[in-house]
Amino acid sequence: MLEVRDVRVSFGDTPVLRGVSLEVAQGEIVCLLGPSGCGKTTLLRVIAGLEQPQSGDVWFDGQSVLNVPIHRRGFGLMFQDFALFPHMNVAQNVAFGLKMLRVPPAERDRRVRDALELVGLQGFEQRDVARLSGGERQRVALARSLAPNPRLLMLDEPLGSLDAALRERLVVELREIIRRVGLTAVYVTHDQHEAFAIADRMAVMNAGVIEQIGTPQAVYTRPVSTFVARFLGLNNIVPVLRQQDDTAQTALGNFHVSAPADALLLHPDGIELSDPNAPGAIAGSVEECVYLGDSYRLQLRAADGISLMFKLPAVNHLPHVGDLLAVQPARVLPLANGRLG
Amino acid sequence: MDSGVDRNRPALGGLWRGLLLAPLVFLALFFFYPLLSIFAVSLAPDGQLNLGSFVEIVTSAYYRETLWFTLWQAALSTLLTLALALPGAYVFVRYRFPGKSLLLALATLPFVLPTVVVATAFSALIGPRGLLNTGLMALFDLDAPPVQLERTLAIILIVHVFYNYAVALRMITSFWANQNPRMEEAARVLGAHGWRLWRDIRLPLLRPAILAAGVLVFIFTFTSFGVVLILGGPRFATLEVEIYRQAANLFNLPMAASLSIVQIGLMFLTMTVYTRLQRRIAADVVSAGYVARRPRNLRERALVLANLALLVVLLFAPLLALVLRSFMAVGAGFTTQYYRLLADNPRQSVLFVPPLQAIGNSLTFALATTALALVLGLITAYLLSRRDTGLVRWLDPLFMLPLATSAVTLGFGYIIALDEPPLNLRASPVLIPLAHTLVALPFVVRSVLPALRSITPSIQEAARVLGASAWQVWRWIDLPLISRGLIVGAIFAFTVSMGEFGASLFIARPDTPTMPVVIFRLLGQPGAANYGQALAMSTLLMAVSAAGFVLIERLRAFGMGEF
Repeated sequence: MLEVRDVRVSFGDTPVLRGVSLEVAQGEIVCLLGPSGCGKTTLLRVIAGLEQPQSGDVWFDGQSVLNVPIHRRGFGLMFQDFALFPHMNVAQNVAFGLKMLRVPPAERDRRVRDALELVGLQGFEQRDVARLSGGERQRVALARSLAPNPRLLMLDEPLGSLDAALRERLVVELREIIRRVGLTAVYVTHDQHEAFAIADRMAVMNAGVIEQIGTPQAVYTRPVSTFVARFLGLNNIVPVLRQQDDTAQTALGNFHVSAPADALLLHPDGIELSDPNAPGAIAGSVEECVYLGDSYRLQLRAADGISLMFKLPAVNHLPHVGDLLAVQPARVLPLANGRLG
Repeated sequence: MDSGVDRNRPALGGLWRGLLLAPLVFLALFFFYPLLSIFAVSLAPDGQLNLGSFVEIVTSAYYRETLWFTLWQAALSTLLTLALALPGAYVFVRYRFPGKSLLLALATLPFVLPTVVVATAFSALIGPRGLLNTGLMALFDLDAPPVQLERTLAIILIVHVFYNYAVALRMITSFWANQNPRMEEAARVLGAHGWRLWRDIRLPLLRPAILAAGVLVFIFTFTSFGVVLILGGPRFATLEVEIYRQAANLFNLPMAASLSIVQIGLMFLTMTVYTRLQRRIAADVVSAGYVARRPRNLRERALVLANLALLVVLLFAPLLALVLRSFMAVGAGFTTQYYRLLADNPRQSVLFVPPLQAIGNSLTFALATTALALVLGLITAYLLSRRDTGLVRWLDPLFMLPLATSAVTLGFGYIIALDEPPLNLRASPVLIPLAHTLVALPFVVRSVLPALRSITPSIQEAARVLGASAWQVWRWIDLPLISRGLIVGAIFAFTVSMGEFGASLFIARPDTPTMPVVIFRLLGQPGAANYGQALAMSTLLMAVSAAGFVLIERLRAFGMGEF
């Protein structure tokens, strides 16, 4: 369906996209996840035609769209600031794309009504867009990009300007709507929870490249690079000092790994307290212990001053600061320092 | 990310680039070229460097006197304006009363009134043939007008206050209303009251606004032309008037040019001070300001009433007098004969054409000016709204320069630069709309620019993605969003052109005079008929300006825009 092939973009001397390739299948929602400045918005703008790549190509439905002008691509793009037209009311905003397509007025009205109903804004037709709440503006922007039946919907941090509680509710709703229409969508965000909630597959971007792409579960359980791990909040990373075949040497002892690694991730999933003398156990002194209700957070200072943090199910007697403890990681994953391959 | 913006205008491409040059070419030909000609005539009148006229300005007591008068009448006008506007601002900030916003809006009416109209209006009120004197003479059976204000400094100062009272009032009021009231409250709790409160707290806190308003009023009165020329008589001359006399009456072009340069230098200096001060006011705004309340006791009510009375009398008495007097026959009684006389052109008249024709000329010139100023102003605004800040930082002040150059200087520059090859337009009537466009251009640009800047790129991009071509984006997004600013700019251009006096006086050809020029010529003639025609024509011109003013105020949602 959508195919981005080795796209490169630089602004002046600054490379923004350094060879990005991406495939999105029909009906799939792909998330571009990454910190600000990683190039995710630029990639979206290249697909939309708002930015020309220095090299590479963008294919859609079996042909290159690089030379198709923006307004003929038939894509939908929802902007981070919503970009509602301030001089038009809600219905006129939603109708704009249909007007450009020369849809006859009667059908236009019907489709505007349908689109507004889809986003739950029935009866808002005549409202002034300046008087809408943040959530309502977001829905109008969504309805506006949906109304012309785009071949591809792109969303640039569509919930970025809303507060956290609203965001959590709307992301589920957004997914529902995209699913119901059966749209192919590319969704840009810097919030991993948003990405987890909405994406079929997510691409984690860093400094103009995609570091890892896969289902949210795959990426979270098996991050491939230190950047991806840290970005997802997995911080128990131990540098590899030396590696011989399947054995990686670290300051915390030797670990069995399946691939060459620059560092190891002690995944917090399934970690347990253990006997300090058990094989593979990691010993350390308690630096901090915070009670969280159903669990507690333990910060352990292990050998060589390496700080590890775990969440454990709450127990009656919490460890004290200074106690000596050991933990047994269930999964130790190899990480690369940069993009693999 | 803005680098993509221009690439998205392939449809406009080369044409667009060419268009962007138009305002620059216009400015070069019809502003910088005349200005440079003034420099050339001043520094090298005979092709060789000759600073004789500068030496004369410095050594001759006459020119020193002119310069001195220009400075101190401006200073006096400024002080007088501030002294009256400060209590007015206090009333507008602190008290709530019916009709407040209407009054504040009306107070800016003089801003659009042509100087000839105002001068005629004051003459109709307190001049020797004005309402006050004719009334007193009839009442007490006097032979001579008892109030002798015409050709005195007093009448010049009064008119300057009329023009600038609202400027100062608005600037100080808006600054004061946004100030944090807690500062004054703190001072009161600490024991300050009465004049100590004014001296130690209020005035120091208002200093930036008072200074900025003062400098602006100084600039306006420093270049006063029509008022001094018409009401001051031969005894008084500002630099501006002297430039006109030297050039138009004495044909001493090098001297006029040198005086222009002295004036440009002084203006440039004051403008620099002003822009600095203005930046300081803008930075000092606090969100929670004073809340106005109703006047509570007799003293407060008297204070409010006194200030409002001053504002209303100052504003409306002369304008009302003008209208009344234009319908008043010599012996008293209603007449429309002055209006009917406008169609005549008696043999002994100073004018080559019936005055009525001047109305047609003015309308034609104003329409041409509006069209030209709109096109150039729109392009200029687009140029200035671009994000490549380096370029904009250079261009922005460049396009404001005509505003800082006096109309007389401009008109003078035109007659010495544009009456000989390579650009000989002396015989062409286009010279007037060209000069008016130059004066009107900054108004159009300032009216359109805020709207244009409010259009974020994402709005245009959203329209593009939704299927709009570059042209459709302009038609459906840009145009509706800037239409209000365009209309305001158009009305400004039209009104400015109708009332423009200084430049027109230089360049209007005898067979195509404008309304202000005709009014000036008529005022200089003896006889009740001539005076009456001047009154009638001034009334018509005032009606046009007032209509423009009302339209602008109705359309302009955001106060004074960028002024």
